[in-house]
Amino acid sequence: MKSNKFWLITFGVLIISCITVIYFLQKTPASYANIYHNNILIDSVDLSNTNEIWFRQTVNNAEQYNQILVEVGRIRIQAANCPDKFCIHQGWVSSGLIPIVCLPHRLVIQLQNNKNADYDAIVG
Amino acid sequence: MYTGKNIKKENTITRYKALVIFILIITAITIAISGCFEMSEENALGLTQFHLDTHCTIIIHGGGTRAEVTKLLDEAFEIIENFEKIFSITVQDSDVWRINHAGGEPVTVSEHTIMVIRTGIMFGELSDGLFDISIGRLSRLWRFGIDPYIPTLSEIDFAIETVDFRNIVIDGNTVQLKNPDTWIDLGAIAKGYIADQVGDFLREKDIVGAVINLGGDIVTVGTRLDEELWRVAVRDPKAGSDELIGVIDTKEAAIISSGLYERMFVIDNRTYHHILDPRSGMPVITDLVSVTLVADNALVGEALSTTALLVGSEKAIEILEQTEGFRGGILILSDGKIIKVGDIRWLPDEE
Repeated sequence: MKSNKFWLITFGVLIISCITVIYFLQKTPASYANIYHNNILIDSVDLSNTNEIWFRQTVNNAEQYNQILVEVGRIRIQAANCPDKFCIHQGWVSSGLIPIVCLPHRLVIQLQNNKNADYDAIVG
Repeated sequence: MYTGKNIKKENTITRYKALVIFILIITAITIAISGCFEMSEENALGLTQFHLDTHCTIIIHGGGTRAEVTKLLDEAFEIIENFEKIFSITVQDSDVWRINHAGGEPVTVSEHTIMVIRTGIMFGELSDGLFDISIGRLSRLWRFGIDPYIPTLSEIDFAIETVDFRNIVIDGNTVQLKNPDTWIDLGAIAKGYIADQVGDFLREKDIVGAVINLGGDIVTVGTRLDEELWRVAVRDPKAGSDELIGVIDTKEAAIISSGLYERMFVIDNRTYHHILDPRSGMPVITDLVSVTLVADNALVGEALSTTALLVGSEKAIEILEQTEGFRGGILILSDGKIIKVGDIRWLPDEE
């Protein structure tokens, strides 16, 4: 009986160790987004808190801005003064590898997760 | 009765048990961690950068550790940067810049430039001159994507006089412009060629698959991790819309999208888009607003997509169906009608 109990506890510890390690290691990569301007990383945003970030730059004496909103696990561009507004229309992004792009302001928001979403690319 | 010998034996068994537990836990953790690294090898990694006046995204499925895939991504973007130095109309000493500033003299260029120019001339003939890579003076005049500007009529008149792809003479590895005022612009075709080249580079690597998206010129390599078909969603071309109108499912292919919504600008409530009619010098007006094509390679796909927008749906279908390498496509008309051409797996959004 004592021997059975010993093995039961041993395997229990084994299984719990496995599950814990897998859970934490898998969860880590999806928790932040990188913001790039002109191909240079300018910010890494923690997606575990609500946040508001303003990107501003002056080009040819005109101010350009993008207002970036963060909610738990997702990010979007809420407002921008770019001419096409494509970055705003992309809406909330919470998974996948397709970035939010503002071409006129040369701004990219890329989620740091390595899970594929429903689509591999969006065109048009 | 406990003797010293028994206690020693009991201690040995306890130590033995502790050792077994310790080894099992270490083994478990090791298996779990290595399993996770295995998973990360079986995941996908993407990077987006600005090159070629557009946004370029490369996503690699599989291919090793994060560091190994990051290195591959860097190498792939280096290929794009190197081609930009060859094909750019603005970069001094690029092949295109040297051809345009040679005063009509022959210029020795790379085999890549010859290949792209030859394809451009072929589509010039196919479209009766509507697709014309000698449009450089005109396209630079409008300054799309840089600092948009509406040219004056006299500026347009001078520019359209210089547009004629028949002025381009290829002899071996030299290119000559018979009219010294002509400028070539490979912007409507070079992205596709570069996407093909990056695709060829990644095809040689030990990866599961990849998606190369150079501003709407997409090349897919290999397969997805789940071995399903690649899924490319098509957005509603109406300005300001974030709705998807359907999905193209495909195996390895080039998927090229062109639309009038790209690089457009609005001045005095009038919209100006970047596909120029070389006859009038103004943005072209046909019944088409967007085309998404599936082809064997992106070079032909990109030339076809721009040609389609220039000639309108009726002539476009005729050209598409007779072009080798064309598989199928979705043409979206200005009234919202969608025409499916050729043999592709198109899943329209039913909502």
